[in-house]
Amino acid sequence: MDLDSILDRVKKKDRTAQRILYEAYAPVLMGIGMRYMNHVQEAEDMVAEAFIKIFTRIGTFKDKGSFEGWMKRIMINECLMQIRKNQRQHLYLPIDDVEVDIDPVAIEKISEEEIIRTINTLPEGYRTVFNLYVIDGYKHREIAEILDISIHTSKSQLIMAKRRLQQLLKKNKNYIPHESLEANTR
Amino acid sequence: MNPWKQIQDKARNGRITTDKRVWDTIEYQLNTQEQTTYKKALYRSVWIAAAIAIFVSAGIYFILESDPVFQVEPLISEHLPDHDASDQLLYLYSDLDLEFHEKGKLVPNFKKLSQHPLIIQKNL
Repeated sequence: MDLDSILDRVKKKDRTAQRILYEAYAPVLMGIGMRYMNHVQEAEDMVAEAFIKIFTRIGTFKDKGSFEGWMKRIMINECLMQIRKNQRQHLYLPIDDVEVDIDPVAIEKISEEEIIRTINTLPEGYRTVFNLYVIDGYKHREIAEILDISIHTSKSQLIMAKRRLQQLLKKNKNYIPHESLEANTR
Repeated sequence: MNPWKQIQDKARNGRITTDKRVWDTIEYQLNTQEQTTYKKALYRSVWIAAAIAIFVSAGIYFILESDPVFQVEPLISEHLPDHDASDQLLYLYSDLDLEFHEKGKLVPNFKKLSQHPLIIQKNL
């Protein structure tokens, strides 16, 4: 069954079609939830909230853009709203400018799920800025508006996030830098 | 290749399975929403029906309570020709004989009445 016919049925509140759509896209949205939220439970709550919004507002979806993109934006907005609601006290950590360098060959060996789970372990302030900027392509100006912070803070949080992620990835058993591989093969 | 681009691609393509309870929560909330919508629609229909009933009842009440088609009323003959100002005349008149006074009140059209033999009693 193609997506258009499923969407038509979802618009008519057909529960079976809603279930099909959920089964197809829940793992995608859960991937986003795991990147933004602290815990699996919290990410799952966001997936549920996002799907309820998707099913109730599907009539407002214009066929111009991609449906998956529309759902992802809803999911990201749900996560951001929850983050703002929580108003975590540790949202912003001290600025510490550092150069960040990650070995692309080593990244190649780490699975997608591991990458998401590693991002999930970042402190919340870093994680939100990192997700918005690096993964979801927001600009620092937009991030500053969304999170109600200065552009400078957004930039510094991103640097810190990258550094922390680098440290975390290096602890991964599959992260083997290129130089080490070459040394072992000699 | 840029390692951050690699991370972006992997993070974007990453899929994580959800627990079964997520769908149960969604289904429960959708059912609750639909029930609420149904109840709201039901209440709205009841309110509309009640409003129509009140409107119709009020209309019927005002029709029943309104003046009869023909009315008997003593009038001062000052507007009529050929009568003394002191004479009182009793007119039988219908709604057709009424006209709007400039102040908005319905009053007998004396000109019209004087042209018809509607006078049933004189010198009350």
